[in-house]
Amino acid sequence: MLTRVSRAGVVLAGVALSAVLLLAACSSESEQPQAASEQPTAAQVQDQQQQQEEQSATAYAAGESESAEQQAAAEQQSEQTEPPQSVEQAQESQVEEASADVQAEQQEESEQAEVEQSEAAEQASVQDEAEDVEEAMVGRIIESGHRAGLFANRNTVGDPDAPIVITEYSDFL
Amino acid sequence: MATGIARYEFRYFAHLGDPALYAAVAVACAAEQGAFWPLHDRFMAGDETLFTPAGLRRQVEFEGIEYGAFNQCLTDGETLPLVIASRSEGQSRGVPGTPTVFVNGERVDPTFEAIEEAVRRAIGE
Repeated sequence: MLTRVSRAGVVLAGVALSAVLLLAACSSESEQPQAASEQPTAAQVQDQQQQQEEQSATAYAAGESESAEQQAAAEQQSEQTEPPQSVEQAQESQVEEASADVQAEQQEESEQAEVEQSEAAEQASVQDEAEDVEEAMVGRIIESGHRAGLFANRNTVGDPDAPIVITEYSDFL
Repeated sequence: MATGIARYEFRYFAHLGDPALYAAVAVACAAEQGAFWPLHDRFMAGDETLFTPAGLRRQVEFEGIEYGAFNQCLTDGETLPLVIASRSEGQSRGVPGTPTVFVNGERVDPTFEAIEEAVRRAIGE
């Protein structure tokens, strides 16, 4: 009976050992893939680093290009946005210049109108004076008594047969 | 001084520009109608209105000059040759300016006293 018990013990022990081994094997198999997945190999790490470097490089390059493009676009935008400001300023300055020109023209016109009015007034006064003088001169009797009784023919006064001739060369001014 | 001793002759000597020439031609045109002296006296009196067409017309008509013929004479310059010839004659006699007076060809000062003295001298007084 002791042998049976020992045999049964041995069998149990064997079963237990196999179970333990099996459990151990199971546990190691389940843990190893996880570790393998959690802990990549050196090559994988190197590949990942290379990929990261490439990505970062491309990203940097892209970033540079993007930033350059963005900068150019920003400059263009600023240029596009600035010209409207300069155009507005130019338009404002043109409007100001035009208004200044218009004001200057208006001022010149007003001055010219004043000058014309003053000239017209002066002409009117001169004309009035001339008319007054004319009125005064029309009725004025020019004394010519010194020729009264003398023979007058055209530009000659006196006896045509007189021995003495007085000749005067004269102007009317 | 007795009458009939001397006569006075006026000669055109327009040398002071276009207004003077215009006046001489106008007076000569008036002379064509026997109205030399009235217009002569008005110009000599300094009547400025004679240098405007309207003023000249009014004065001419006032003096009894027929304006149509007068204006035609003035516009056509009918008397201009006479005026020019008179000035040329004066220049040939050495007339330096106006007025210049001769008594029997002798140039004397254009004053009444100088002319009277020259006349008396000419008649032997």
